[in-house]
Amino acid sequence: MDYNLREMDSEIKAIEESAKRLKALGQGIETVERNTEAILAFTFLLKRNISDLLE
Amino acid sequence: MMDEKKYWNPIIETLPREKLQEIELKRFRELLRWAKDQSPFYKRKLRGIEPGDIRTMEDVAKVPVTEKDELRAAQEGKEPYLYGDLLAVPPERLSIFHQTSGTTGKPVYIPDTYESWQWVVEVWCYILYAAGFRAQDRVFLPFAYNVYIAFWQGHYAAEKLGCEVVPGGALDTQGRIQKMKEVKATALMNTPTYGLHMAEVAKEMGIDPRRDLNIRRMISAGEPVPEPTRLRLEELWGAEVYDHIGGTEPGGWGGMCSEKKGMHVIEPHYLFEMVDLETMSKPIPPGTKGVAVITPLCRRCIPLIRFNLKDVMMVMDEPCPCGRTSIRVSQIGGRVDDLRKIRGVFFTPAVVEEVIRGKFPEVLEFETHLTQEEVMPVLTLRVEFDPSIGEGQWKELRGRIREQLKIRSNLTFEIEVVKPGGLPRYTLKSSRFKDLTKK
Repeated sequence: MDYNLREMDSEIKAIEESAKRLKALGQGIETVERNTEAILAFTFLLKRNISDLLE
Repeated sequence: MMDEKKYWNPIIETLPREKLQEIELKRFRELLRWAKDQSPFYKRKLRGIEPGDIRTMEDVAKVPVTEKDELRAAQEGKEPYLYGDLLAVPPERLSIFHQTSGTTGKPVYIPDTYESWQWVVEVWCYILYAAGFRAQDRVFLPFAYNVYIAFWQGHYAAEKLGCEVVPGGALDTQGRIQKMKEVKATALMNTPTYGLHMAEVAKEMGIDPRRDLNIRRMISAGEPVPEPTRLRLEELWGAEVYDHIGGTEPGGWGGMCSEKKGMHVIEPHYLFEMVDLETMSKPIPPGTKGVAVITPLCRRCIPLIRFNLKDVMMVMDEPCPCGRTSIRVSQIGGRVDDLRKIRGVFFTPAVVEEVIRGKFPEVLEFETHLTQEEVMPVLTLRVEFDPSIGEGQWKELRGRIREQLKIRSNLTFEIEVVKPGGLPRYTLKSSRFKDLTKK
């Protein structure tokens, strides 16, 4: 099966950027800060599992 | 419907080797930079090493190996408390604590941030998936849920795979067997020693694990599983039994696939090297015994660079029929710490386990003692036979055990029979070799 790595990579980066923006918007609100940290931990893994293969 | 997918990550797990190595070298350089910048320990240790100069595996071999004793020294009495000079992130980012068992000295404390812990769990997902764990499984963990990392990774990885996890923590062995029966658990994670013990206790309860339980898959951790022990577990449980390899410091870094021939290193999350036994630095080719050195490439919390695992292993040369392209290793010689030269012969306690588990199902438990009588080292194997073995058979069995050990190790053993229940049973790491020559 063929996978579109470029498209996946671009979605991963979009999620990461979006989580960072949300974190900044919700600064001072624990639930926003902690949950966006969790999202960023998973985008870190997706980058290691998918995005790094493109370089 | 059965899940026919073979890989947790079909792209990474089938990458050409050159590509895997390219990614690993890049990550190694990044880790060096991070460690030099953030960890006081590595700032000192890596003085003079320029990450940008590391372009090949030969360059990697020029970076000094990290020993466990160095980790202890970098923590003891240093701030921030517990982790000292090893910590490479602000302490407020830490979210979980584990420690080594301390069997070879003072424990080493290994924390994780939320991010690094998710990475540790992710790596275990590769291991469990290769061992056939799937979302349909109800996984039982007869594990004490304490400060040791052991099955914590397995617990969270199984959960991430979509399995239904049954934590069998605060139960005794009988209670765990009853619970597995009650919930019809289909998969199990345990140490090989405890797998054998559970089967023994189940038998005493009138439960045959093969017939009366539903365990179809088992993964071992905590100690090596010699092939005869793995096969014995398969026989006792009527289950597919897989080995995995890892530790508190590096996390779980390798596991068996459906071929059950050696263990795949989880590349490119880890950089794996083998160095020769004599110099402990020179890289060695596949098919040669050596000592394993590992670098977890994405765990930034406490970076670990070229960690000496002190495990004697061999890299398997031929490609695996499962299609994974990662390095495969076989754990063949036990721990460097357990290696002894006795009467001019290299001895490793792993040999005893291979002989006993491979050829003597009559032996329930055993223990090897090394003592010194005047100038002569003496090896004594203490064995506990199955209660169904009458005393009339002991002499013949002792003779056969002594003969097989002599063939396999080239050493003569004294054989001592211990009464039923006279030897310890282990739930985590077993300790069946006792060097009593050490003061």
